[in-house]
Amino acid sequence: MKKIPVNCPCCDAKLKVAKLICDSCDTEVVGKFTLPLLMQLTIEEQEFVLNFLKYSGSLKEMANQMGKSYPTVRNILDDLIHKLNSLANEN
Amino acid sequence: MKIRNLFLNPFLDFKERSLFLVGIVGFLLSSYLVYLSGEQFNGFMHFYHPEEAVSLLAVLKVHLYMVLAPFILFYVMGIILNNKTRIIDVLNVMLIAPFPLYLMLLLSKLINQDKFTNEIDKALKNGDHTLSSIDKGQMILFGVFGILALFLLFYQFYLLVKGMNVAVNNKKIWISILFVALYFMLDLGIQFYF
Repeated sequence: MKKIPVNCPCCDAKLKVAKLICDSCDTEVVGKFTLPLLMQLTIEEQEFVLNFLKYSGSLKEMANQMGKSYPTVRNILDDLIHKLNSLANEN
Repeated sequence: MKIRNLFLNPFLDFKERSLFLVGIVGFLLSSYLVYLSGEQFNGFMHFYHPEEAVSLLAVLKVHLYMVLAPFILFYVMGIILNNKTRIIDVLNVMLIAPFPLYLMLLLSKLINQDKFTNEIDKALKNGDHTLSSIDKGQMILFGVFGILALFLLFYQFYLLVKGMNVAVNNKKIWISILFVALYFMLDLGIQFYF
């Protein structure tokens, strides 16, 4: 499955969804839709969020699985929270 | 990746327990090495040769101050910068960052630097300002050691900055510079007490 691009490959601005298609009857919905907050994160960041849920928010467990130290994982989470807050404010 | 980070930034990948254990072993071994060489810690980056022999306990005590003093300062600073800073992360930095210094001490003992310094001193006192009486091979060896010592000193600060950046999640260069400046200042101040 292709990865959905989040930023414009030309100017790096945030991309929006312009067209949605129904897989079953080919109905097309055209408009300008903002991507959900989590979709605006990079693939690595989305994977981090998924792992965070998977390990019930245990950073220690995540650090073990990722082969990173605890403060490294905590710093990634802090940066992610900061990014999500900034994206929420922009939206 | 882990092997590369072992030297570039051990604080990024390794568990705090492993870092603490290695740090404590390094602390004890280096104290023993300083005791064996008849020297004593004087600040975080140098040693001196006291006139009277010092006990292992005295070396351990001063070494403990050399770890605890920067630990307290950097932990307070860490808390100011990021209230999630943990004691163990800062303590590990203070235990691991002086490893290049320990290596430098070991190398200086292996190549008998004291003897060489005394020979230079004697030659200068005898008026041999061109040091023609000193063996050229030995001069080159100590020249290389001098360069290596400079590199290790730089590496000590590199580890300090990298470790503190991970401990407090810092990405600003001026704060990294502040870490180095504070370490220097504390080192300068602490020399008057030990």
